[in-house]
Amino acid sequence: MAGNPHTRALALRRRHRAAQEGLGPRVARGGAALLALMLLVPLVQPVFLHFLGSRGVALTEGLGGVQFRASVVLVSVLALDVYTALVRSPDRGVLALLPVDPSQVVQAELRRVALDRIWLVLALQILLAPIAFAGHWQAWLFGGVQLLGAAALGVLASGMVHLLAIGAAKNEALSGLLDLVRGQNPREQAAFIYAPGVVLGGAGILLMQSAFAAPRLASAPVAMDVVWLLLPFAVAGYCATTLSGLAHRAWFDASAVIADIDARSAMLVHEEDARSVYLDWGVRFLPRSWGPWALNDLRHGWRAHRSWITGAWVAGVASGLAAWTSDPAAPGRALAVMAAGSALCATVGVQLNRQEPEFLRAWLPDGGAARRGARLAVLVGWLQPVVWLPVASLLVRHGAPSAVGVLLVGEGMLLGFAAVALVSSALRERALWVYGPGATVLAATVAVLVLRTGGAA
Amino acid sequence: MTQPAIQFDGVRKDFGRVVAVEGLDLSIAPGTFCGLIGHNGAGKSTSLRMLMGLLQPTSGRILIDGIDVHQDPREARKRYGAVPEEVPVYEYLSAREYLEFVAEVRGGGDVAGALELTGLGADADRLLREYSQGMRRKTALAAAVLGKPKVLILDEALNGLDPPSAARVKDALRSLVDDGTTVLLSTHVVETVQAVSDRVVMLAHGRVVADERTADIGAQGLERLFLEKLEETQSAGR
Repeated sequence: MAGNPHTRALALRRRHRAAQEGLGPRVARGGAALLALMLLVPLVQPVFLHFLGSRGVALTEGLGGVQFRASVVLVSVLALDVYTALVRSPDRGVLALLPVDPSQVVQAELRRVALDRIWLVLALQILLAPIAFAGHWQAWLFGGVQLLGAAALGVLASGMVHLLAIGAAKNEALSGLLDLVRGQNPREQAAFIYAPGVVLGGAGILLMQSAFAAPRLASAPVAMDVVWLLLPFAVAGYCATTLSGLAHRAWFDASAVIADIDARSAMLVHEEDARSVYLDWGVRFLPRSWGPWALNDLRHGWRAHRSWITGAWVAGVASGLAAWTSDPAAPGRALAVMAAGSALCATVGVQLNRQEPEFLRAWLPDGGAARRGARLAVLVGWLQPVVWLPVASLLVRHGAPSAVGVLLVGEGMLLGFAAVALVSSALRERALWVYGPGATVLAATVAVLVLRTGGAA
Repeated sequence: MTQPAIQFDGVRKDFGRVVAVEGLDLSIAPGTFCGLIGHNGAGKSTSLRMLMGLLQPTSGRILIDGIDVHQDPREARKRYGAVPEEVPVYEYLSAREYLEFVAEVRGGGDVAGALELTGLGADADRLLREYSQGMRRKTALAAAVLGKPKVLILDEALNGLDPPSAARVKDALRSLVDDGTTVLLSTHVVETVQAVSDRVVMLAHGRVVADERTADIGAQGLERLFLEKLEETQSAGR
């Protein structure tokens, strides 16, 4: 790696950044994350590891299931990170003008993602520590190996798929297919939207087999389980061998592809302006002084953070599916998913403040209570699908009393997360480090409470 | 016949229904200082971004020293140095470290000479995040000339420079051109073009509307020509 100028430049930049930032904020960030993990460990057991007291197949199946879900989360996060690193890296502005060796750039970027995210493997191992505490320490250790395999796959297979996606985005032969699946997005963007899904789909069988092999190796090992456990490393190794050739073909092209995507997205934004009358209508129910602030948040928030806002619909669907059963525990499960969804999607409240341009802060009046009230109203409005979709589901499967109970608890929860997000957002750059762990612990506590009580409703 | 340093062959760029550049044909000989002028939205930056390989033309091709910018992007980048309109730099490197990095990627270059050329010597060890916009532009200019590329592409590169720096950079660019480098400078400041360039190309609404030797235009003539051509294209568009 000593011969890679990008890796050396990256290390130098990190050193300068650390020196500028000082030790305090880094220790505080690490401390906050560690504290959140410590608080979460006892909450993980009743929600995800309730089978630890069982034996035989029930135990192995339970451990395998948890391991599989953890590795899917890991690969998903890494796939998104790899997309940013290879396609939308802020460094691209510098590097795209230079005669860089694309394979060196890709190597340096993937190495950076791996180093930046290795803590995720450690954090998952800490969260799953109750497995070791329950005496299944071998299964826990093999689980760690499985997560490392998933991480290797998450970085290297994602690297391969995203470089292929750049080629797919500009391939005229695929334009019909991309038009079919692009929705409201520019055609080229479709290739990138589905890339993490392709990684997960491709890696799914491997992750599942290796996840279930890990606990089996601890109880009744067979040779095939060793193969399944190590196969993700081998596949990741194969993906690594393809990266250099793909990088030479695709890395430079990505600059032109994303420039076209951005230009077309800008045109879509202009088309949205024609529909702004709906927004004006939407804020007329708010107090008069809140109106301009609410409109500002609705417009800017949708354009800059739409994935969080549409994420509320995804969380609502997930919660609705959890409620779509005649099982009496369904309201509790729906509320648990609702808590996680609200906590996650309310992050947009933090992001709105964190990424507000400096000139707006300098030039706009403070706004005071009207501004804060408008933002809370907008945030609560955006989060409504998290509550209403499962409520509709419960109304059909469990009747009105259950649905109304969940609606009231859900709206209260949603308001709570929105308020915590807005209070945290006052910390601007550091807000995520407070809101992230805080909301996670809060959501996990709510989930445990509603699952233990069988649902407040 | 000498191979052109820069060649646009029937280049067109559409953004949906908007035509940013329409059938651009332009050939610039080695050792020419060419000024590219035009009103806001004339297609200057789009043309230069396509020349740098940052945008794909909808049709046509672009060559730098005979190399197709989009077919062989790495070889093309070995032949040009560029300062885009928005200057990208590594904020957490000093100017000296940044230029050393660029020199390594380019396979060599006189970092001390580039710092001297742009007058950044005294601030070379400060982090780029502490630099003003003008100083960042100077750093990008220093990076662009490292390794003496055959072509320099400068998009509003003299904006934000203080008058002594601008004068020093103009002199330096002139001497690079005398040594055989080709410079394509885009700006909407006609005085700058008049002062330094050998040739002026004027764009309006994505098309070349004038292509003249600066010496043939004469003092005060460029601004008048610019306004006349703009008026003509606007009338034709009505």
